[in-house]
Amino acid sequence: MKKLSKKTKSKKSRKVTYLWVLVALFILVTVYMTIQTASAGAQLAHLEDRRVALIEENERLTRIVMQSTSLTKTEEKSEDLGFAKPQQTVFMKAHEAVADSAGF
Amino acid sequence: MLLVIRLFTWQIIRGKELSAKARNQHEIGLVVQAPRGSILANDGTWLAARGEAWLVYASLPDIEEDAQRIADKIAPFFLPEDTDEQTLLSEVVRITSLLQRDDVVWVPLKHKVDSETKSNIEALEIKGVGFEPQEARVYPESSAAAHTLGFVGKSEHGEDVGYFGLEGFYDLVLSGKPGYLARESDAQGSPILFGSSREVFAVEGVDLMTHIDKAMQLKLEKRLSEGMETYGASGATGIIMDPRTGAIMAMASFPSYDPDTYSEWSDELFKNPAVSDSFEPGSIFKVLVMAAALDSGEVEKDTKCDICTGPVKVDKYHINTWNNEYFPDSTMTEVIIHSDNVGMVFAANKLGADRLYDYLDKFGIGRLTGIDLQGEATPGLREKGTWSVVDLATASFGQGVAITPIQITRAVAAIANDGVLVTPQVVDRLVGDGWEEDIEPVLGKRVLSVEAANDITAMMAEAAKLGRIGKRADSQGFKIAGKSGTAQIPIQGHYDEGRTIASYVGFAPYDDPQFVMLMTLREPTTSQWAAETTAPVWYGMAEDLFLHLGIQTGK
Repeated sequence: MKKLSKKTKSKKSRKVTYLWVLVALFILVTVYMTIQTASAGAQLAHLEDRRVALIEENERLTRIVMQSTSLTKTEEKSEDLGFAKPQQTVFMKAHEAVADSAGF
Repeated sequence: MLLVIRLFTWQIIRGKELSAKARNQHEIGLVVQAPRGSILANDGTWLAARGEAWLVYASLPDIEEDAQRIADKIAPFFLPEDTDEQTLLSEVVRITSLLQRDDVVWVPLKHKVDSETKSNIEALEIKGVGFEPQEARVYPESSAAAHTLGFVGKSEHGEDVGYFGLEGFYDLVLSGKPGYLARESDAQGSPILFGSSREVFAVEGVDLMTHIDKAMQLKLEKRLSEGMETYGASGATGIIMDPRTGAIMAMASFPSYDPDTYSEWSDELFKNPAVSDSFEPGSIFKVLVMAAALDSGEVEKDTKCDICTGPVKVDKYHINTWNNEYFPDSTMTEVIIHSDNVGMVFAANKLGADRLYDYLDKFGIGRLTGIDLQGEATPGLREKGTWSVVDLATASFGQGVAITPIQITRAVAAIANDGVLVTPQVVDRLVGDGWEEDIEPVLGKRVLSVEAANDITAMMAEAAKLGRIGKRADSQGFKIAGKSGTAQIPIQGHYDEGRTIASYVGFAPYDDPQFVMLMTLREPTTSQWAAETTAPVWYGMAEDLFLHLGIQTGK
C-alpha cells in the first residue's frame, strides 16, 4: 500500500507539473499575442499616417498642376515668354502654293 | 468592510459613469470628410477644384495670453492688406469677445484661411490657438465662367453647399457623402486590432467633366467685356453651343462676380442672366416665326408679301418697318433680309395665332430648356386661344413675347440641326475614382422639316451678308447664317425708344454647323442698333471660332 501511495503521489505531482507548464505556456503566448497586436496596431497607425501624408502630397502636386494649366496665368505670362497674338490670319486651301499666296 | 463599500461604490453606484469614462478614453469616433469633386473643362483642366484651407480655433483652457493681445496679433492676418482701421478694430473686438467666452472650451476664430496665413499665425507661437484642415474651393481661371460654375457657400447647419450654376445643380454628386470611423485605441492612439471597430467609408465627391472649352470661354468673356466698353452697354450675354448635341462650349454674362469671394458681391449678380433673365428678342425672333410659316406650307421662300407697300394697320395700331422703308411684293427671303416687320405680320397672319403658338411651343419657347444649371427660369407664353390680332402681329417681329437667351439659342440651334431640337447640356460626363459615366445628349422632337430648316438657313445666310461686317465675312468665305435684332425695352407698360437690347444670333458654317452663338448687349449707348454694336462683336468672335475649331472657309 505504501508503494502504491508513492506511485500515486509521483503521478499527481507530474500532472501538476504538466499543468503549470501549460499555464506558463498559455501566459507566454498571451503576452506574445498582446505584444504582436499592439505592434500591429502601431504599424496600422503608421500606415494610416503614411496614407494621409501621401494623399496630402498628391493634393499638393495636383494644386501645382492646376496652377500651371491655368490659361489665365499663362496669358499673363505670355508676353514675358515671348508669345505674340497673331495680327492677321490667312485661310488657305491645301492645294494652294504658299509662294503664290505670298504674292511672289 | 471599507474595501467592500468602496468596491460597491465604484462598481455599482458609479459603475456606469466610470465605464463610460473608460470607453471615452480608448474609443475614438470621427467623421471622415468626403472631398468635394472638381469641375473640369473639356480638356480635363480645372475650372473649380478643392484647395487647402484651415480653420483657426482657440482651445480656451489652454490660452495663456491676454485675449486682447492675441486678437491684436492675429486680426491683421484675417483681413486684406489694405483694410481700413475701423474694419481692423471691429475684427479685433470680434476675436476678443470669442476668446473671452466662458460658456465653451473651444471656439472657431476664422474659417478657410490659406496656408500662408496659417504659417504666419503659427510663427507667433500663441498657446491655445490651433488649426484644423478644411476644404476650400479654388478657381484657377479666377472669375471666368462664374455664372456657369456657381459657388460653394454654407448651409444653415454650416455645411458646404453649392449654390447656382453647376455647383448648385450637381451639389449632391459633387459633395459625396462623409463616412464615420469608430474604434478602440490604446494610450498612444494606435488602433487595437481585436477591439471593436465600426467604419462607414466616405464616398468621395464626383468630378464633373464639362463641355466648356476654356480657351473659347476666356475669349468670349474678353470679346463681351470689350464690346460692353466699346459700345457703352450696361450688360452683355454670350452663349456658344454645339447645335448637334446641345453641348455648351462657352457661356458668359456681365456684370459678373468672383465665386472665390462671393460674399463680397451683391446677391443680384449670382443669377445667370443666360438662363434666368428674360427679354423681348426683337428681330432675331423673326427666324422662328418665318421657319414656322415655311414648315406649315402657308408660305414659301418666294411667296410675295402683298401688304408690304407701307405700314399695316392692326386693330387701332400701325405697324411700321424699323427704318420706314417699304418693299412692295417682297419675297419671304427679302422680308428676312430687310427685317421687314410688315412682311412678318403677313407671314404670321398666314400662319394664324394657334399654329404660331404650337410652333413656338415645339421650339421650347415658354418652357424650361432642361439645361443642367441651377436657377433656370422661363417666362410663360401667352395662353393658346387668348392671342389677339395685335399679339400675333407684335410676336411676329419679337415684341410682346419674352424669352431667355438659352431658349432662343436652343431654338435657332434646331434650325441649324436640320429641324431637330436638342437639350442644352454643360456636363459631358461624371468622373469618379476608377469609373466614368457619360451623359448622353438629349435629342428632342423634330420641330421643322429638313426642307423648311434649309430654307430658313438660306434666308439667314442672305441676311448675314448685309452690312459692312457681313459683306466682309462673306467675301472671305465665312459661311455664316445669322440675324440681328434690336428690341426696345418695355418700361412700365410702354417701350423706351432710347433703350434697347441689341442681339445677334447665328450659326456657322451654314452647310455643316459646328456652333450656334447668341450675343446680346444691353442698352448700348453708342448706337441702339444691333447691326452696329453686337454684330461686330459676334463676327469677331466667329472669326476666332473658325480658327479655334479648324473650320475651313468657303474660299
